[in-house]
Amino acid sequence: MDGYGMRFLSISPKELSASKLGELIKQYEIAIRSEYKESTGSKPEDGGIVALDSIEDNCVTLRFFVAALLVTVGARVTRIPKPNQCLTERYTSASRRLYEQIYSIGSSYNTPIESFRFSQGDQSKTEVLSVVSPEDISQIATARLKSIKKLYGKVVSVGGLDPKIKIQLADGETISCNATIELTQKAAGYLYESVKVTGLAKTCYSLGTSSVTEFTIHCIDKFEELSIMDLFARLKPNISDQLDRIDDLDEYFMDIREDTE
Amino acid sequence: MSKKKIVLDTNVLSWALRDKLKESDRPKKIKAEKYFKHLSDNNVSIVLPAVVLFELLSVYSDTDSDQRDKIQFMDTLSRHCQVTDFDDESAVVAAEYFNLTHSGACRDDSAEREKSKRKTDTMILAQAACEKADELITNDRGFIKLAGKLYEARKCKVTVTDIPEDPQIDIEEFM
Repeated sequence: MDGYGMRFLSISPKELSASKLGELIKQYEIAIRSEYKESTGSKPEDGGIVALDSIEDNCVTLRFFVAALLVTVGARVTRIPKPNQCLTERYTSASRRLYEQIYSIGSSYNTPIESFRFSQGDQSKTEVLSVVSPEDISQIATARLKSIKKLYGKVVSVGGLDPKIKIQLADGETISCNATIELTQKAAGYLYESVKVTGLAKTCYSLGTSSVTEFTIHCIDKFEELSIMDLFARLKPNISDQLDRIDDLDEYFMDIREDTE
Repeated sequence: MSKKKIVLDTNVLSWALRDKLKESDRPKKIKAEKYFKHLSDNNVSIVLPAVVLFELLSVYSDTDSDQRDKIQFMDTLSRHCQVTDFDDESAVVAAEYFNLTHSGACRDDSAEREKSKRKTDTMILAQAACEKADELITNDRGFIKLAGKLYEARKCKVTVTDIPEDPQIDIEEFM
Protein backbone atom coordinates (compact mmCIF):
# COMPACT_ATOMS: atom_id res chain seq x y z
CA MET A 1 0.00 0.00 0.00
CA ASP A 2 1.25 3.48 -0.82
CA GLY A 3 1.61 6.36 1.54
CA TYR A 4 1.93 9.99 0.63
CA GLY A 5 3.57 12.93 2.28
CA MET A 6 4.63 16.52 2.03
CA ARG A 7 7.68 18.29 3.31
CA PHE A 8 8.35 21.97 3.96
CA LEU A 9 11.99 22.07 3.07
CA SER A 10 13.30 25.16 4.87
CA ILE A 11 10.76 26.00 7.51
CA SER A 12 11.65 26.68 11.09
CA PRO A 13 9.46 24.33 13.13
CA LYS A 14 8.85 26.84 15.88
CA GLU A 15 7.11 29.16 13.45
CA LEU A 16 4.35 26.79 12.26
CA SER A 17 1.35 26.91 14.61
CA ALA A 18 -0.44 23.74 15.65
CA SER A 19 -3.75 25.07 14.36
CA LYS A 20 -2.31 25.76 10.90
CA LEU A 21 -0.86 22.26 10.77
CA GLY A 22 -4.16 20.81 12.00
CA GLU A 23 -6.14 22.65 9.33
CA LEU A 24 -3.75 21.39 6.66
CA ILE A 25 -4.05 17.77 7.77
CA LYS A 26 -7.84 18.03 7.87
CA GLN A 27 -8.04 19.70 4.45
CA TYR A 28 -5.85 16.97 2.91
CA GLU A 29 -8.43 14.36 3.89
CA ILE A 30 -11.34 16.54 2.70
CA ALA A 31 -9.60 17.10 -0.66
CA ILE A 32 -9.02 13.38 -1.27
CA ARG A 33 -12.59 12.50 -0.33
CA SER A 34 -14.00 15.25 -2.55
CA GLU A 35 -11.87 14.20 -5.55
CA TYR A 36 -13.01 10.61 -5.02
CA LYS A 37 -16.63 11.71 -4.99
CA GLU A 38 -16.04 13.86 -8.07
CA SER A 39 -14.52 10.98 -10.04
CA THR A 40 -16.83 8.17 -8.93
CA GLY A 41 -20.03 10.00 -8.10
CA SER A 42 -20.20 8.48 -4.62
CA LYS A 43 -18.63 9.00 -1.23
CA PRO A 44 -15.84 6.63 -0.17
CA GLU A 45 -17.02 3.64 1.84
CA ASP A 46 -16.28 3.33 5.56
CA GLY A 47 -12.94 1.65 4.85
CA GLY A 48 -11.81 4.52 2.64
CA ILE A 49 -9.81 6.37 5.22
CA VAL A 50 -7.07 8.94 5.03
CA ALA A 51 -5.03 8.83 8.23
CA LEU A 52 -2.06 10.74 9.52
CA ASP A 53 0.83 8.29 9.55
CA SER A 54 3.45 10.49 11.22
CA ILE A 55 4.67 14.00 11.81
CA GLU A 56 8.42 14.05 11.56
CA ASP A 57 11.45 16.32 11.64
CA ASN A 58 9.88 18.83 14.03
CA CYS A 59 6.68 19.14 12.01
CA VAL A 60 8.25 19.80 8.61
CA THR A 61 7.33 16.40 7.18
CA LEU A 62 3.82 14.96 7.17
CA ARG A 63 3.17 11.38 6.14
CA PHE A 64 -0.29 10.03 5.42
CA PHE A 65 -1.70 6.55 5.16
CA VAL A 66 -4.22 6.38 2.33
CA ALA A 67 -6.54 3.36 2.01
CA ALA A 68 -6.26 1.26 -1.15
CA LEU A 69 -9.60 2.58 -2.39
CA LEU A 70 -8.23 6.12 -2.44
CA VAL A 71 -4.69 5.52 -3.65
CA THR A 72 -5.20 6.81 -7.20
CA VAL A 73 -6.98 9.93 -6.06
CA GLY A 74 -4.41 10.34 -3.27
CA ALA A 75 -1.57 10.40 -5.79
CA ARG A 76 -3.35 13.05 -7.85
CA VAL A 77 -4.09 15.30 -4.89
CA THR A 78 -0.62 14.90 -3.39
CA ARG A 79 1.05 15.92 -6.65
CA ILE A 80 0.81 19.60 -5.72
CA PRO A 81 0.36 21.67 -8.90
CA LYS A 82 2.25 24.88 -9.48
CA PRO A 83 -0.02 27.88 -8.87
CA ASN A 84 0.05 29.05 -12.47
CA GLN A 85 -1.60 25.86 -13.72
CA CYS A 86 -5.34 25.93 -14.44
CA LEU A 87 -6.72 24.68 -11.17
CA THR A 88 -10.39 25.50 -11.59
CA GLU A 89 -11.23 22.87 -14.17
CA ARG A 90 -8.84 20.23 -12.86
CA TYR A 91 -9.62 20.14 -9.15
CA THR A 92 -12.54 20.37 -6.78
CA SER A 93 -12.92 23.46 -4.60
CA ALA A 94 -11.77 21.37 -1.60
CA SER A 95 -8.48 20.54 -3.36
CA ARG A 96 -8.02 24.15 -4.41
CA ARG A 97 -8.48 25.16 -0.79
CA LEU A 98 -5.80 22.62 0.25
CA TYR A 99 -3.38 24.04 -2.30
CA GLU A 100 -4.14 27.56 -1.14
CA GLN A 101 -3.23 26.53 2.41
CA ILE A 102 -0.03 24.90 1.19
CA TYR A 103 0.91 27.93 -0.92
CA SER A 104 0.10 30.20 2.00
CA ILE A 105 2.51 28.31 4.26
CA GLY A 106 5.11 28.31 1.50
CA SER A 107 4.72 32.06 1.06
CA SER A 108 4.59 32.97 4.77
CA TYR A 109 7.66 30.92 5.65
CA ASN A 110 9.49 31.28 2.33
CA THR A 111 9.91 27.55 1.95
CA PRO A 112 9.83 25.17 -1.02
CA ILE A 113 7.26 22.40 -0.63
CA GLU A 114 7.93 18.89 -1.80
CA SER A 115 5.37 16.13 -2.03
CA PHE A 116 6.33 12.47 -2.19
CA ARG A 117 5.15 8.88 -2.29
CA PHE A 118 6.60 6.27 0.05
CA SER A 119 6.28 2.55 0.48
CA GLN A 120 4.52 1.39 3.63
CA GLY A 121 7.02 -1.47 3.80
CA ASP A 122 10.12 0.72 3.73
CA GLN A 123 9.35 4.31 4.63
CA SER A 124 12.90 5.44 3.83
CA LYS A 125 12.22 4.83 0.14
CA THR A 126 10.49 7.87 -1.29
CA GLU A 127 9.65 9.12 -4.75
CA VAL A 128 9.28 12.88 -5.19
CA LEU A 129 5.97 13.77 -6.86
CA SER A 130 6.21 17.55 -7.03
CA VAL A 131 8.16 20.56 -5.83
CA VAL A 132 6.70 24.04 -5.55
CA SER A 133 9.16 26.87 -4.90
CA PRO A 134 8.57 30.26 -3.22
CA GLU A 135 9.15 31.80 -6.66
CA ASP A 136 6.24 29.76 -8.06
CA ILE A 137 4.04 30.91 -5.21
CA SER A 138 4.98 34.58 -5.58
CA GLN A 139 3.24 34.56 -8.98
CA ILE A 140 -0.19 34.00 -7.45
CA ALA A 141 -2.51 36.95 -7.87
CA THR A 142 -5.02 37.48 -5.10
CA ALA A 143 -7.72 40.06 -4.54
CA ARG A 144 -9.55 40.85 -1.34
CA LEU A 145 -12.99 42.41 -1.57
CA LYS A 146 -15.47 43.63 1.01
CA SER A 147 -19.18 43.38 0.35
CA ILE A 148 -22.50 42.87 2.06
CA LYS A 149 -23.56 39.22 1.86
CA LYS A 150 -26.40 37.04 3.03
CA LEU A 151 -25.85 33.60 4.54
CA TYR A 152 -28.38 30.89 5.31
CA GLY A 153 -27.46 28.27 7.85
CA LYS A 154 -27.76 26.96 11.36
CA VAL A 155 -26.41 28.58 14.55
CA VAL A 156 -24.10 25.93 16.04
CA SER A 157 -22.14 27.90 18.62
CA VAL A 158 -22.44 31.27 20.32
CA GLY A 159 -20.22 33.33 22.63
CA GLY A 160 -16.67 32.98 23.83
CA LEU A 161 -14.25 35.60 25.08
CA ASP A 162 -15.11 37.75 22.05
CA PRO A 163 -18.69 37.75 20.81
CA LYS A 164 -18.70 35.14 18.03
CA ILE A 165 -21.48 33.31 16.25
CA LYS A 166 -20.70 30.11 14.37
CA ILE A 167 -22.98 29.41 11.42
CA GLN A 168 -23.03 26.03 9.71
CA LEU A 169 -23.91 26.39 6.03
CA ALA A 170 -25.92 23.85 4.05
CA ASP A 171 -22.76 22.22 2.62
CA GLY A 172 -21.46 21.55 6.14
CA GLU A 173 -18.88 24.35 6.15
CA THR A 174 -18.83 26.38 9.37
CA ILE A 175 -18.12 30.11 9.41
CA SER A 176 -17.11 31.85 12.62
CA CYS A 177 -18.63 35.33 12.45
CA ASN A 178 -17.95 38.49 14.42
CA ALA A 179 -20.94 40.20 15.99
CA THR A 180 -21.93 42.69 18.67
CA ILE A 181 -22.76 41.41 22.15
CA GLU A 182 -26.45 42.23 21.53
CA LEU A 183 -26.54 40.21 18.28
CA THR A 184 -24.65 37.34 19.92
CA GLN A 185 -27.21 37.26 22.72
CA LYS A 186 -29.99 37.30 20.11
CA ALA A 187 -28.26 34.46 18.25
CA ALA A 188 -28.16 32.42 21.48
CA GLY A 189 -31.95 32.26 21.23
CA TYR A 190 -31.60 30.64 17.81
CA LEU A 191 -29.05 27.98 18.82
CA TYR A 192 -29.42 24.92 16.52
CA GLU A 193 -32.09 26.71 14.51
CA SER A 194 -32.00 27.94 10.91
CA VAL A 195 -31.21 31.60 10.45
CA LYS A 196 -30.64 34.18 7.77
CA VAL A 197 -27.74 36.53 8.47
CA THR A 198 -26.67 39.63 6.62
CA GLY A 199 -23.28 41.21 7.12
CA LEU A 200 -20.00 42.47 5.80
CA ALA A 201 -17.92 39.73 4.20
CA LYS A 202 -14.25 39.94 3.37
CA THR A 203 -13.69 37.60 0.45
CA CYS A 204 -10.35 36.48 -0.92
CA TYR A 205 -10.17 35.62 -4.63
CA SER A 206 -7.27 33.51 -5.77
CA LEU A 207 -6.60 30.70 -8.25
CA GLY A 208 -10.11 30.70 -9.60
CA THR A 209 -11.64 30.18 -6.21
CA SER A 210 -13.01 32.44 -3.52
CA SER A 211 -13.37 32.11 0.21
CA VAL A 212 -14.89 34.26 2.91
CA THR A 213 -12.05 35.09 5.30
CA GLU A 214 -14.06 37.24 7.71
CA PHE A 215 -17.76 37.87 8.24
CA THR A 216 -19.23 40.52 10.54
CA ILE A 217 -22.92 40.03 11.19
CA HIS A 218 -25.16 43.11 10.95
CA CYS A 219 -28.51 41.37 11.20
CA ILE A 220 -29.69 37.90 12.21
CA ASP A 221 -33.21 36.52 11.84
CA LYS A 222 -34.87 33.17 12.20
CA PHE A 223 -35.38 31.49 8.84
CA GLU A 224 -38.20 29.04 8.40
CA GLU A 225 -37.69 27.28 5.10
CA LEU A 226 -40.88 25.88 3.61
CA SER A 227 -41.29 22.88 1.36
CA ILE A 228 -41.73 23.87 -2.26
CA MET A 229 -45.47 23.10 -2.29
CA ASP A 230 -46.09 25.08 0.90
CA LEU A 231 -43.98 27.94 -0.41
CA PHE A 232 -45.94 28.13 -3.66
CA ALA A 233 -49.24 27.95 -1.77
CA ARG A 234 -48.18 30.97 0.33
CA LEU A 235 -46.82 32.95 -2.62
CA LYS A 236 -49.67 32.35 -5.08
CA PRO A 237 -52.31 34.67 -3.56
CA ASN A 238 -50.02 37.65 -4.16
CA ILE A 239 -48.85 36.93 -7.70
CA SER A 240 -51.22 34.57 -9.53
CA ASP A 241 -53.54 37.41 -10.67
CA GLN A 242 -50.59 39.30 -12.12
CA LEU A 243 -49.32 36.20 -13.93
CA ASP A 244 -52.81 35.35 -15.17
CA ARG A 245 -52.98 38.74 -16.94
CA ILE A 246 -50.15 37.60 -19.23
CA ASP A 247 -51.33 35.57 -22.18
CA ASP A 248 -48.11 33.75 -23.04
CA LEU A 249 -45.80 33.51 -20.04
CA ASP A 250 -42.92 31.82 -21.84
CA GLU A 251 -42.89 34.51 -24.51
CA TYR A 252 -43.18 37.29 -21.93
CA PHE A 253 -40.12 36.18 -19.96
CA MET A 254 -38.18 35.27 -23.09
CA ASP A 255 -38.84 38.79 -24.36
CA ILE A 256 -37.30 40.34 -21.21
CA ARG A 257 -34.02 38.57 -21.99
CA GLU A 258 -33.91 39.42 -25.68
CA ASP A 259 -31.94 42.13 -27.43
CA THR A 260 -33.94 45.26 -28.12
CA GLU A 261 -32.51 46.12 -31.54
CA MET B 1 -26.64 14.92 5.12
CA SER B 2 -27.01 18.28 3.38
CA LYS B 3 -30.17 19.01 1.46
CA LYS B 4 -30.09 19.11 -2.30
CA LYS B 5 -30.28 22.70 -3.60
CA ILE B 6 -32.43 23.43 -6.63
CA VAL B 7 -32.56 26.74 -8.46
CA LEU B 8 -35.69 27.53 -10.45
CA ASP B 9 -35.62 29.73 -13.53
CA THR B 10 -38.29 32.39 -14.04
CA ASN B 11 -40.22 30.44 -16.67
CA VAL B 12 -40.57 27.42 -14.39
CA LEU B 13 -41.57 29.50 -11.38
CA SER B 14 -44.17 31.42 -13.31
CA TRP B 15 -45.80 28.17 -14.37
CA ALA B 16 -45.92 27.09 -10.77
CA LEU B 17 -47.47 30.31 -9.52
CA ARG B 18 -50.17 31.03 -12.09
CA ASP B 19 -53.71 29.72 -11.96
CA LYS B 20 -55.19 30.47 -15.39
CA LEU B 21 -54.64 27.77 -17.92
CA LYS B 22 -55.31 27.39 -21.59
CA GLU B 23 -56.27 23.89 -22.60
CA SER B 24 -52.99 23.57 -24.52
CA ASP B 25 -51.02 24.46 -21.37
CA ARG B 26 -52.54 21.72 -19.25
CA PRO B 27 -49.96 18.97 -19.94
CA LYS B 28 -47.14 21.41 -19.15
CA LYS B 29 -48.77 22.45 -15.88
CA ILE B 30 -49.46 18.86 -14.85
CA LYS B 31 -45.87 17.90 -15.57
CA ALA B 32 -44.59 20.86 -13.53
CA GLU B 33 -46.87 20.14 -10.58
CA LYS B 34 -45.89 16.50 -10.54
CA TYR B 35 -42.27 17.54 -10.44
CA PHE B 36 -42.78 20.09 -7.66
CA LYS B 37 -44.63 17.49 -5.60
CA HIS B 38 -41.68 15.17 -6.14
CA LEU B 39 -39.24 17.88 -4.97
CA SER B 40 -41.43 18.59 -1.97
CA ASP B 41 -41.48 14.92 -0.99
CA ASN B 42 -37.69 14.79 -1.25
CA ASN B 43 -37.17 17.79 1.01
CA VAL B 44 -34.96 19.89 -1.25
CA SER B 45 -34.01 23.53 -0.71
CA ILE B 46 -35.25 26.00 -3.27
CA VAL B 47 -32.97 28.88 -4.19
CA LEU B 48 -34.11 31.97 -6.03
CA PRO B 49 -31.42 34.08 -7.74
CA ALA B 50 -31.97 37.86 -7.54
CA VAL B 51 -31.95 38.03 -11.36
CA VAL B 52 -34.90 35.60 -11.49
CA LEU B 53 -36.63 37.63 -8.80
CA PHE B 54 -36.20 40.79 -10.89
CA GLU B 55 -37.86 39.14 -13.89
CA LEU B 56 -40.68 37.78 -11.78
CA LEU B 57 -41.36 41.14 -10.14
CA SER B 58 -41.71 42.76 -13.56
CA VAL B 59 -45.27 41.38 -13.73
CA TYR B 60 -46.50 43.88 -11.15
CA SER B 61 -47.98 47.15 -12.39
CA ASP B 62 -47.77 50.41 -10.44
CA THR B 63 -51.37 50.25 -9.18
CA ASP B 64 -51.88 50.28 -5.41
CA SER B 65 -53.23 46.76 -5.29
CA ASP B 66 -50.32 45.39 -7.32
CA GLN B 67 -47.83 47.23 -5.13
CA ARG B 68 -49.48 45.79 -2.00
CA ASP B 69 -49.34 42.30 -3.50
CA LYS B 70 -45.69 42.80 -4.41
CA ILE B 71 -44.75 43.74 -0.83
CA GLN B 72 -46.64 40.73 0.54
CA PHE B 73 -44.97 38.50 -2.02
CA MET B 74 -41.50 39.81 -1.10
CA ASP B 75 -42.20 39.44 2.60
CA THR B 76 -43.26 35.80 2.27
CA LEU B 77 -40.33 35.07 0.02
CA SER B 78 -37.72 36.61 2.32
CA ARG B 79 -39.01 34.70 5.33
CA HIS B 80 -39.37 31.30 3.71
CA CYS B 81 -37.11 30.99 0.65
CA GLN B 82 -33.41 31.50 0.01
CA VAL B 83 -32.87 34.46 -2.26
CA THR B 84 -29.30 34.89 -3.46
CA ASP B 85 -27.90 38.31 -4.25
CA PHE B 86 -25.94 39.13 -7.36
CA ASP B 87 -22.81 40.16 -5.46
CA ASP B 88 -19.12 40.56 -6.25
CA GLU B 89 -18.54 36.80 -6.14
CA SER B 90 -21.38 36.17 -8.62
CA ALA B 91 -20.04 38.97 -10.83
CA VAL B 92 -16.60 37.36 -11.01
CA VAL B 93 -18.07 33.97 -11.93
CA ALA B 94 -20.65 35.40 -14.37
CA ALA B 95 -17.96 37.33 -16.21
CA GLU B 96 -15.89 34.16 -16.55
CA TYR B 97 -18.89 32.17 -17.87
CA PHE B 98 -19.84 34.98 -20.25
CA ASN B 99 -16.35 35.20 -21.73
CA LEU B 100 -16.09 31.43 -22.08
CA THR B 101 -19.41 31.22 -23.92
CA HIS B 102 -18.89 34.42 -25.88
CA SER B 103 -15.44 33.89 -27.33
CA GLY B 104 -13.71 31.28 -25.20
CA ALA B 105 -13.49 27.53 -24.96
CA CYS B 106 -17.26 27.06 -24.55
CA ARG B 107 -18.22 29.42 -27.36
CA ASP B 108 -21.90 29.38 -28.17
CA ASP B 109 -23.09 30.13 -31.68
CA SER B 110 -24.17 33.77 -31.53
CA ALA B 111 -26.83 33.12 -34.14
CA GLU B 112 -28.46 30.70 -31.71
CA ARG B 113 -28.15 32.70 -28.54
CA GLU B 114 -28.28 36.47 -28.46
CA LYS B 115 -25.77 38.30 -26.32
CA SER B 116 -28.39 39.70 -23.93
CA LYS B 117 -29.83 36.24 -23.33
CA ARG B 118 -26.36 34.86 -22.76
CA LYS B 119 -25.70 37.64 -20.29
CA THR B 120 -28.80 36.79 -18.27
CA ASP B 121 -28.10 33.04 -18.51
CA THR B 122 -24.57 33.44 -17.18
CA MET B 123 -25.69 35.77 -14.39
CA ILE B 124 -28.31 33.28 -13.17
CA LEU B 125 -25.93 30.35 -13.57
CA ALA B 126 -23.21 32.19 -11.64
CA GLN B 127 -25.58 32.85 -8.77
CA ALA B 128 -26.51 29.16 -8.74
CA ALA B 129 -22.84 28.15 -8.78
CA CYS B 130 -21.87 30.55 -5.98
CA GLU B 131 -24.71 29.15 -3.90
CA LYS B 132 -23.31 25.65 -4.61
CA ALA B 133 -26.65 24.58 -6.07
CA ASP B 134 -26.93 21.07 -7.47
CA GLU B 135 -29.42 21.73 -10.23
CA LEU B 136 -31.05 24.55 -12.12
CA ILE B 137 -34.41 23.88 -13.72
CA THR B 138 -35.44 25.83 -16.81
CA ASN B 139 -37.51 25.15 -19.89
CA ASP B 140 -35.25 27.37 -22.01
CA ARG B 141 -33.42 25.00 -24.37
CA GLY B 142 -30.83 27.62 -25.31
CA PHE B 143 -29.93 28.09 -21.65
CA ILE B 144 -29.65 24.31 -21.15
CA LYS B 145 -27.32 24.03 -24.15
CA LEU B 146 -25.10 26.91 -23.05
CA ALA B 147 -24.82 25.59 -19.50
CA GLY B 148 -24.14 22.11 -20.84
CA LYS B 149 -21.00 23.38 -22.59
CA LEU B 150 -19.72 24.93 -19.38
CA TYR B 151 -20.52 21.74 -17.49
CA GLU B 152 -18.75 19.51 -20.02
CA ALA B 153 -15.68 21.73 -19.87
CA ARG B 154 -15.79 21.37 -16.05
CA LYS B 155 -16.15 25.12 -15.65
CA CYS B 156 -19.49 24.87 -13.88
CA LYS B 157 -20.79 22.14 -11.61
CA VAL B 158 -24.47 23.02 -11.73
CA THR B 159 -26.59 20.68 -13.86
CA VAL B 160 -29.08 22.66 -15.93
CA THR B 161 -32.08 20.67 -17.14
CA ASP B 162 -35.71 20.91 -18.11
CA ILE B 163 -38.44 19.53 -15.86
CA PRO B 164 -38.08 15.78 -16.28
CA GLU B 165 -40.86 14.05 -18.22
CA ASP B 166 -41.36 11.62 -15.38
CA PRO B 167 -39.88 12.66 -12.04
CA GLN B 168 -39.91 9.02 -10.93
CA ILE B 169 -37.10 8.37 -13.41
CA ASP B 170 -34.75 10.59 -11.45
CA ILE B 171 -35.90 9.52 -8.03
CA GLU B 172 -32.69 7.67 -7.25
CA GLU B 173 -30.81 10.96 -7.34
CA PHE B 174 -32.52 11.94 -4.15
CA MET B 175 -31.99 8.69 -2.28
